[in-house]
Amino acid sequence: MDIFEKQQRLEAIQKIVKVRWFNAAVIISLGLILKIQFSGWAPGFEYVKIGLLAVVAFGYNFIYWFFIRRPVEKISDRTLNIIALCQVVVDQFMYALVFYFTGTVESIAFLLFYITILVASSLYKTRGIILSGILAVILHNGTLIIEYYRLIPHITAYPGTVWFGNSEMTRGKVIGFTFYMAVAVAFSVVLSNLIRNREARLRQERDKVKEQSNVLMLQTQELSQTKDYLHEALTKSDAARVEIEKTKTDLEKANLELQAKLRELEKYGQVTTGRELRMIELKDKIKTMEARMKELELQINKKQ
Amino acid sequence: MDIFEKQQTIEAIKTVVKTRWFFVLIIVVQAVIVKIFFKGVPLPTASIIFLVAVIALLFNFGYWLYLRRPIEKTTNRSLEIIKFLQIAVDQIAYWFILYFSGTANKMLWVAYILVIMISIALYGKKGVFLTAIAGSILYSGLVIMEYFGLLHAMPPEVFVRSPTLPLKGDWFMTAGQLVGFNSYLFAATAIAVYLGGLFKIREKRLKEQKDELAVKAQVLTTQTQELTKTKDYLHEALTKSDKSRVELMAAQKQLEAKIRELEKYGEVTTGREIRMIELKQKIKNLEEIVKDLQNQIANK
Repeated sequence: MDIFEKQQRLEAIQKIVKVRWFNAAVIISLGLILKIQFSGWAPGFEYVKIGLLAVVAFGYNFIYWFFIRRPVEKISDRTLNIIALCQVVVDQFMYALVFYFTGTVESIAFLLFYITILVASSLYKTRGIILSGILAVILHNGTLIIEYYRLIPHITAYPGTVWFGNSEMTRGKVIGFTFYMAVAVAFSVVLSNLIRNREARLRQERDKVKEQSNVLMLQTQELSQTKDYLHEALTKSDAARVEIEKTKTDLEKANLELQAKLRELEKYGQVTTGRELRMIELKDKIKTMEARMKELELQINKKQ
Repeated sequence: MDIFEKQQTIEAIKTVVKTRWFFVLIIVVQAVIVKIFFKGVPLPTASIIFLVAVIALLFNFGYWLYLRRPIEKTTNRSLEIIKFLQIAVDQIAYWFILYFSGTANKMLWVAYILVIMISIALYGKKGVFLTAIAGSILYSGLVIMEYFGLLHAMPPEVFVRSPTLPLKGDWFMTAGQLVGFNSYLFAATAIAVYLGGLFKIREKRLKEQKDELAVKAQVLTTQTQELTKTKDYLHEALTKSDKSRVELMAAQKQLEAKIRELEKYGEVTTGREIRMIELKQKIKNLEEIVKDLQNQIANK
């Protein structure tokens, strides 16, 4: 049993316990009303017995209440299962007592057994509900039959009725109860499965969407990362581009300056046209002068 | 009603229809058994039982046919009506069986409690309460009618042979039946509403979780789309930026080459200028030397 299932089960038991306060109160009030209003009603079911049943019912419900107040982690699976089992079984025994004290064959308290099937459908699966039905049939029919054979005394609810001891009436009640119990169990099983299926489907859908959203979340994270990476790369690239642009501007400036300088130089060159020729001229002149110098030097040497 | 809710309702009605085949069968089988083996029990005549059973089965067949249609074709209104009929018609059918049996003091009244169980599967709190109230009115009405002798009259010998006492004229029994039935009916209703609420809350919680997650998924999908767009945009921008950077770099290189060339040219030009100055200087030197030498010759 996982924590979710446990929680649901605990929640169901909490509801049932709450309902039981009300249910017990209704049954006790009904008993008291009948007792006060109709003096002849169920003389064997004295006030003391009503009080005793009330004390027992409220007593064990208080124990349940006390138990389920504890946090879910502290309740073991085993104890929870036992408490869940008690929700139906103990009630059925109590109802069997009510059924007996209110005159069995004359009583309409057999209806209470159907209520336990309703409770069972909220707690158990198919098998549990069927077993609850079987126990109800055993308790109801058992009480009827044991009483019919006078193994226990009969408490007459309605003086003047001849139902007790009438084989046809007893048989009719036994068959009727069993038939309707079968129907109730069938309804309960179908209902419980219907609701369980609905829940299962919803849970499935929820899980599917959850998975989907997880995948999306991952995707978003990845995309976010990629985005951040790209953003960073773009910033870097932009910064680099800006720098290059600056360098380019600088270079263009340098280029322009150089070109200007060159142009100036060229202009100067154009003023002194035929610079090459002039250079040759100069060189020739140097040569002639050197020759002249040698000649002069020779003359000086001769004269000495 | 959204499609999911509709589907849930249809499924619930389908289940109820399925159980109804079984329930009608059980009632008929029970009637046959009682008719054969318990001749003293007041029951409607065989023809009336047959008639009620046939009507019930026809109704159920009608529902079955309706539910077989595809979900898109069922309108909300018709579905609501079919949903409503699931309980009301059944309750009336039980009423007729009890009416024709001559006494309301029969086990069949348990059926009014059993339908409460079915109503949990179909209705909300209000629906379950209304089912209980309808059941209470129908059955209490029968009991009171019987008290005043307004029920379908059985031949007197039926009750002579039967241990079942009619409620006619017996206020003690009638009051007991009324109080007992209504108390248990409403106790069962309270439990049904409570437990039904338990299931509803569970379902609601799950549905809420599912819806919340769906919204989250939706948000995430939009986010993902936007992020993808941003990513694509950034990618494009980066590509552009890179391309222009490469272009710029190429331009820069070209410029640098051009500048180098210019510098070289400049150097050449400047060098020549310097050479020329040097040459002139040399000539001057030489002229001085020549002059000097000529002076020497002249002096001698």
